Amino acid sequence: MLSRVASAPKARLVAIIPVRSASDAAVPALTPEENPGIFQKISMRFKGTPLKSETHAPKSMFDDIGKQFVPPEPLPKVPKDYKEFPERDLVNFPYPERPTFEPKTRFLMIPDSWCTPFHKVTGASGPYLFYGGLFAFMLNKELWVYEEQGHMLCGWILLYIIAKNAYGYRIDKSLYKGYQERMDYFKGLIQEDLKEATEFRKNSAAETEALKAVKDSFPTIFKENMALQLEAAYRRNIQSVSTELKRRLDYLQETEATKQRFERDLLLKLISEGVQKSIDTNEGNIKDAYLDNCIAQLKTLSTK
Amino acid sequence: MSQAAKRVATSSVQWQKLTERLTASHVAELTRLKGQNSTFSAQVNQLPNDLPKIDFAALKKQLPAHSAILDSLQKQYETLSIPYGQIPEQFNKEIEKWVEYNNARIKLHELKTADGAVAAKKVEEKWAKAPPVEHFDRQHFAEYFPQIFYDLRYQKRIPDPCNVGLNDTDQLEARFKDYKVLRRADKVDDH
Repeated sequence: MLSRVASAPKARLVAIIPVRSASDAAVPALTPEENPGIFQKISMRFKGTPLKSETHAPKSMFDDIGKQFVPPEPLPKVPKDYKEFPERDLVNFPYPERPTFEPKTRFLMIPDSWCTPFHKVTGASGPYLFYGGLFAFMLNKELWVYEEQGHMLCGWILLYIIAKNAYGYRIDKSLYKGYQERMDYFKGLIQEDLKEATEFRKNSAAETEALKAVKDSFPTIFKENMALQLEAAYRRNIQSVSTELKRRLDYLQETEATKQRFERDLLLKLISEGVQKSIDTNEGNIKDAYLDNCIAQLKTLSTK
Repeated sequence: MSQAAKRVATSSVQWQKLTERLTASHVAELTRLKGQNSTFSAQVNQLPNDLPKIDFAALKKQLPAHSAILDSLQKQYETLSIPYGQIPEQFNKEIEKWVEYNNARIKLHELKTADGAVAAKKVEEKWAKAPPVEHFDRQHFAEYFPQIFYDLRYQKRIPDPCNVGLNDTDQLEARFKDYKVLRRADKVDDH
């Protein structure tokens, strides 16, 4: 095919020169979403969103920030009227149920129940101002002096907050799992005890039933077995009697048959010998007479 | 005793139902008895029920020469009576002894059941009385799981860090109850 082009006499086009302008060499501009700066990247890391070159965010200790572990199943309720002993006073000494969560605290130091009475009087900020003021007063008047390493508390508190946010969820989850296993172990022990009791009841009831059946039926079986043996002995006697009689009758019949067979054989032999002898000796010229008889018969046959 | 005892040819016992009602401890005995019963039944079924009827008149016609013998045989055959017999008294007495033994066995089982029922009831009541495990307090653990949580206020226990089981029985305590350290011969009490 190219040979046709090659054989063209006139070459109008010498070379093809591609022409590109300077603007064609530049890369198209990226938007801020596509090209995050360093601070955007840090923010994305904190948020847990994966960067452009990643399929998922890398595993970090800050994954669990903001998560609070809540036990999936609440603790079972103790009945309101549960008394360990009949004389128990439930009004003044209610049964000490184990609470699911520890009592609420503000800043892990001041119980919530010491703060809520302030709300009616001073509003939400009341407890903080009161206790803060108390702390400041005691500090200022040197009623409560804390040691010089107290400045490190800020750092320790910060580290605690970081650790709690990073690992608190995971620690709670694993501790709950251990608690569940312990409770399941105890419950297993209880079930074993109860299972033993119910199994004993079931087995002893079955054994009672079996013994009753044995008592009702085994004597019958014993008697029946003995009766069957007796019957078998009787039938064996019958069989022997009938066998003996049959032998005797068979003997008589066989002797009679033998005798008759012998008589018949003897008679036949006698007759045939006699006939043979008379033929051989030609007694009374029987041969001629036989021949004449045959010829006569043949004649009669030929006429038919 | 009447001579004509009841004749048996088939089993009047429902073996299948009986097998369902019995527990494992009685299976061997029942199998043995069932085997015996089937053996004897097989024997009984194999053998003839009664004496066969023999036509002596036809035989006499067939064998006139032996009519005298046949006459005597016929007479003997027709006057023959095979005694059925009866089961010896000794075996019936054995059955009665077995019945006594069985009654004693039943009584023993009833006593065992009663005792066990009492124990089972105690266990069930104990656990019905207990609070939920999640709300156990310190004293409940020692009360309801004494094998695991011991109470040294009323238990004498020796340290067993390797869980050999020194505290499981009181064998050690019994063995060394009066164990005294050998005293020196010249040791006196007055000073």
